[in-house]
Amino acid sequence: MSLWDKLATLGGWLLALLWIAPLAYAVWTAFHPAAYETHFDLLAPLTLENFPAAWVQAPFARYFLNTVILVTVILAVQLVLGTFAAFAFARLRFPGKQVLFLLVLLQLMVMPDVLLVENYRTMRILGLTDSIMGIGLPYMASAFFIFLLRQTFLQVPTELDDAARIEGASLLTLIRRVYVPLAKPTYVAFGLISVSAHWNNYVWPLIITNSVSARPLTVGLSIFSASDSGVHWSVINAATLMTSGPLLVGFLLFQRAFVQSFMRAGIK
Amino acid sequence: MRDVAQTPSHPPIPSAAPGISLRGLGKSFATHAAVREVSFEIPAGALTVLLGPSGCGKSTLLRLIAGFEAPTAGEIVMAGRSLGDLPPAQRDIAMVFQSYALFPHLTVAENITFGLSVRGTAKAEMAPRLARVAQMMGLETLLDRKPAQLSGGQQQRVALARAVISERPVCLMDEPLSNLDAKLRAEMRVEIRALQKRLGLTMVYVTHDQVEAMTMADRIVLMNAGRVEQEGTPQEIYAHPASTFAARFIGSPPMNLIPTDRLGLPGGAMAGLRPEDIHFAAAGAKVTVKSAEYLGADLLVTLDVSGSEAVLRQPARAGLPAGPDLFIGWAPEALRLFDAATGLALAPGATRFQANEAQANEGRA
Repeated sequence: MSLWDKLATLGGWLLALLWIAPLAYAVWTAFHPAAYETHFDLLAPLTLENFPAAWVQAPFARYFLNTVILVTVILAVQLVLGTFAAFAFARLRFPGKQVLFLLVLLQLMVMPDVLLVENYRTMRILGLTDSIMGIGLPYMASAFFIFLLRQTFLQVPTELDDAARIEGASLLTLIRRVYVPLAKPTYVAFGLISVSAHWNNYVWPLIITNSVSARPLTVGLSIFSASDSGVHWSVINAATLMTSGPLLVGFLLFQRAFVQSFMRAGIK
Repeated sequence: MRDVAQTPSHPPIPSAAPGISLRGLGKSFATHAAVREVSFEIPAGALTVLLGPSGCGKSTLLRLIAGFEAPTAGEIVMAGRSLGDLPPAQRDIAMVFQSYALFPHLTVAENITFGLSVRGTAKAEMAPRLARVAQMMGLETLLDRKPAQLSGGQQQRVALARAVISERPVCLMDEPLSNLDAKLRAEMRVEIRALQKRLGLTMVYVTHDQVEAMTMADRIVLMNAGRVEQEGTPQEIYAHPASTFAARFIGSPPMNLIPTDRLGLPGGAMAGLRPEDIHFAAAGAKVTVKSAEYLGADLLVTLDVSGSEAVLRQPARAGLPAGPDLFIGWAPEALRLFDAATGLALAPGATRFQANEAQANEGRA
């Protein structure tokens, strides 16, 4: 092992420690009484009381429901719209195809934050402010997914396409029974990216929502932690663990596919 | 298909497989014309091979018949009606692709019944048809496998089964054997031919392999540069090639083409002689032996005929004649003559005298 390799490994460990530190702190405080928030003691008594305390202090159940509905609806619409758009861009001939595809690509180059104000205005016109639909709508046609899936569809051999057509498959059947099953890894990869991105999204939901009925977990959590009743780090961290828990578990389960999805997205 | 001959239950013979006529068919792409002015008949219930080198337009022609491409000129008539822009699925045509085009995510059974299921065939009807075809192709034990778990030959059988189960009377094949090794290819040639005869299919078979064409075809359509170079039975094309292209493309080794004056014939034309039609003789055209290739039964001798190369085929037992002065002779009726400039055959079966006359006529024209 050369010196360079050793340094790289050391750097990797340092970065990993730095990244895991907040999570480690959250775990530590969430399972100990408030007295140990800033006081590290290996023998400190463990407790589970922080979790019910957090759960009753804010409507987390509702926030959970909102977030689950949000990511599910976004993902479902993204998959459907993306599938049709990607198929059209990959395999159909129609006038203006190149220009339209360029416009889709252009969307990839715009920072989402630039659009916050404009999106808010649009949602207000549509009467969708402070609704789950309003949070999700701007993200439902994912340029990234259309691009990713188009690349995958382009790799489907045209002979398969021909074979299905001569057997009498309609366009819809062709997509459903040939293209979609063959692109399954891309669907899984994008699904993971989409769910984690929208589960964690904060700024846009913060702006567009102002009531419990629409607020997702991220916004709910931030409001909870900024309450005037004094800052209880152990309770806040218990809430944080609760809210990010499902995603953490999901990440551990799909770790491999998740990392691969970024590799895949990067290469293509 | 292992027991084609004995299988008592085979799919019903398609009711009166239709013939297909191509009339003045053309297909131009932005930069070039792939098929030009092609007209010929594909007889009903026979195996027609479209033969030619790569890029000659044979695959494009097949895609036109299948309906994947629309012709830019001419029409295709099947069973008395012009196919026009009828989509592929409605042409009553089955097709086997070069890469087999099996769906990798489906099992063998699902692949075979794909067409039936998208066309909404009842499950109760599908099962017996699948069983019948699977037995016919020897695929009974493989039905639950995925294509990736099959050998090339087995994949080929699945592709054939998918075409057969549709019970469509016309079957198009696009170089179906080119991905198989030589031994398997020879076996599958026989199987496909047997299948075609058994089911009375009108089959259009595209290949660049002249051996496949010769062994399987009822009729060969030889194509070159988007046009039909010659059509006929394998025997006709072998015995009377219409041009030097046909002469060199068919036969292995191909027909020898030697300027007539080097054989001591009246000059100005090309003489075509099959390797098996020339023999060593006591007198005739003087040759020197360049090399000899031993094939077991036969000996292929490469000769130099006053500067032209020619190949002679003779039984290996005969051995090479000794002596510095060697001559070749040939059966006069085996001699074919071609125009030196255009490469077209001169009056089929032309004698030396007729060739002379043809030359003279050409000169006058």
